[in-house]
Amino acid sequence: MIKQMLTRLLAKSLWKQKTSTALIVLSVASAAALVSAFLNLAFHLTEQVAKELRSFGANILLVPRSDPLEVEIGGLKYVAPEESAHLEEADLVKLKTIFWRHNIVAFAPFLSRLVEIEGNRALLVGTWFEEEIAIPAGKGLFTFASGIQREVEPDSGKFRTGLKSLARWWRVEGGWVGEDGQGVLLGSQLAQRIGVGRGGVVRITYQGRTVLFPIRGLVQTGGVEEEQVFVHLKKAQDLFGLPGKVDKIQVSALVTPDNSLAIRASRIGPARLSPEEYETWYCSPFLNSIIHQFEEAIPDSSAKAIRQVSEAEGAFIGKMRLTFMLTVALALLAASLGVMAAMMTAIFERRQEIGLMKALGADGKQISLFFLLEGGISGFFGGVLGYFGGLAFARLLAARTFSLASFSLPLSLQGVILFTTLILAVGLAVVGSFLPMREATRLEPIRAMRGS
Amino acid sequence: MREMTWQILLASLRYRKGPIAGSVCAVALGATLVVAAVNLRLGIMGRLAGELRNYGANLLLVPQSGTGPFLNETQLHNLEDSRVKDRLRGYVPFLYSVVKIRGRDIVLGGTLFTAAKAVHPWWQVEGRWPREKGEALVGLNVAAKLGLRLGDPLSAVYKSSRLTFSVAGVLRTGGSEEHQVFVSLESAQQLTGHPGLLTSVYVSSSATTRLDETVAALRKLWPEAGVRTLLQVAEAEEKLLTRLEIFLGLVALFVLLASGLSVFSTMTKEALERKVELALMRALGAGAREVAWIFACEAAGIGVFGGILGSALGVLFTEMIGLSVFGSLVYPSLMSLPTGLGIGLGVSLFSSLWVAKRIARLAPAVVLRGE
Repeated sequence: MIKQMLTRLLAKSLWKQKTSTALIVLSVASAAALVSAFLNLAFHLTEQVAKELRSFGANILLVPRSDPLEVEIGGLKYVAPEESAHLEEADLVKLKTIFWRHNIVAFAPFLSRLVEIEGNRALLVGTWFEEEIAIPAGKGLFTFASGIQREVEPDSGKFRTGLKSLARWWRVEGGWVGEDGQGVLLGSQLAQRIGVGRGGVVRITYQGRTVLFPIRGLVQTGGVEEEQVFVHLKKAQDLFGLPGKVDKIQVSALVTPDNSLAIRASRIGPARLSPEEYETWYCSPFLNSIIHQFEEAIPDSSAKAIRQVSEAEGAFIGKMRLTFMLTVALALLAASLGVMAAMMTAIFERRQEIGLMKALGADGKQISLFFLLEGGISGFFGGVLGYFGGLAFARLLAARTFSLASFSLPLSLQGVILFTTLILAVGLAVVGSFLPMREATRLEPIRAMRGS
Repeated sequence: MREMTWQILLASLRYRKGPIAGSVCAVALGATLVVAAVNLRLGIMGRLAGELRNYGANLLLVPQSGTGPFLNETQLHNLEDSRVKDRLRGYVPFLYSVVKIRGRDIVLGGTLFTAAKAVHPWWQVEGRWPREKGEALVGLNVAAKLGLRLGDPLSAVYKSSRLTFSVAGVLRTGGSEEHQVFVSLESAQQLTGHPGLLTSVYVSSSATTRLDETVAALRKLWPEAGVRTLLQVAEAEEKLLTRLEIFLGLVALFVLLASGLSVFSTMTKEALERKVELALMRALGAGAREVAWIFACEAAGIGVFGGILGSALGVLFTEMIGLSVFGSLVYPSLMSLPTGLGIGLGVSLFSSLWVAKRIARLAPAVVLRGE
């Protein structure tokens, strides 16, 4: 009997007070949207910021183990020939076969020597501009000393990489050197000194050999690159008589900020970690574990962190994450306040109704149950609405602020987010209605009905 | 009439202490959140921008083409000029030359170590930074190739002159600095016979100033120097900051809306509670305008108090965030008080007048009968 009555009352009340219900559902929905949006983003945030930070350029440098001493000032580099050591160009694809292959954003090889260009000394750098390379399947299953096996999805197929994706700050007036590898990019300062421009031809001499190159474009970076000449790696290898060789490789890799394990690993060396720790360390994209995997993959190489980029990156991501969380907490607090206030006003407006119920014999408990249920129902609908609204909001935020065209989370994670959002929405609505309701039920029926 | 209004207001203050305090609290809470969000948007944004300056110098000063290979050290005072000093976070001069160390050609850089430490925070030194003239910082690769260890003597030869240093520290950067040796600027100048000369100056501009204006100011002050923008740092930084700005701006907007709504709800409730009182005033002969005036005065009072309180709390809140994330206080935004007052006063005035108008439309008798 009472149950029946309760359902009827609830349905009636929710329907009759359309504006008030709508307002509550809306304010709950906005809070829920916020929760869902930020939860969606939070899983991606570090990754997104890390991706953004990749526009600062390479964070790992690979050199031959016996890295020859460079004598370089202002973009002019001299290497004593008796000491030269090289990496193999053929090994480059191996960078995309390591455990963290998916985190390798871009890389480019470099081979440089001092040449004469139109009577001026300048550094000729052979590199990849925009190269499409075929990645072999690589190892799919990694077995560790601790007995754990980890499988990595193969990243075989085509991979486009080179300076264009590695050094995104380069301003190239004219065009990049194309697939055919014809032509040079000339540093803008050097071009000015020589007195040539786009469309011209430069004569480059190395140890008596002279080659003519058409000028494809002029490079502006503000740095030493403006004094250098860039050609396709193949051309440089031919000119220097070093087929298949490179001096160094710059890599841009997505990494996660170091935690205590990573710090310990770099202090005592990964070999002295326990098997379980080693496995965890190896399977986390720390800068040092990726460096370790590079050295494993490419024989006789020595990989090191480019500290200018890697140091600042770690610190920034950490601070950014904290700021993000605090900002979200702030927004959430504001949204909760909004819900509470809306609930308070709504119940307050219905004091007469409460008085009437009491006068008709309902006791405080029944009335409380009624209003809590009502709050819960509005909260639930607000939560569902908010979840989807939040999804859309997150998409918008991601696209606008992190240049991420689309992103998706696995369904299981979405389930968790939906669940959390709903719990929070219902909780907020119920808690929000609790206080004003207690106040209202304490009133004497007659006073409540008179409205004073 | 004026007297009457005051009496009513004073009486209201005396007898309705609880509800008024409640309203002030609600307004203050809303204002706190908004002020904190605004401060986050402005103050913390500056801090995050400052963090990005850890990527190092974004400007490079080199000799203007056609003026010879050197800059004049005495001209460094240009960077201390009041027109540009506030725009710079730091700068570090270098004098580079190739010298012979243990028979091999090595690049020797003369610099001011305290400045280098500030502008290039990623330079990692094993041992310690050189403190005296006779000490050197040796790049990791140089140390490995020449077998140099901490405390070893190292003599550098340039043409006919020779100077001996002791290795104070080994430098690790992951860049070309690992192939170089650094000594004090004065020693390098003395060794190479270039007194008072520099090759280049790395400049890190302050995070909150516009880079193009800084470049223009530097060009004007020091015409002999060519100012180059290091795009690697400058461009990536600008891109990232724009994104963050939009993000924090959106959050601030959301907080503003949510807080505004909650203040509105609370004030509406407070006003509704006084429906009978309003009707009574009307029944006793007060005009709609007078009633609205009384309401407005009260709401304004609540708004001002709540707004000021909220501004103060909001700034406090921001400082807490600044301390916990960045470990130091954040310079609070000048917009704090206006924003807090604006949201407090604006929303409470609006909501109470809105209710007053709604009630004024009802006949007093109906309200008094409680329908």
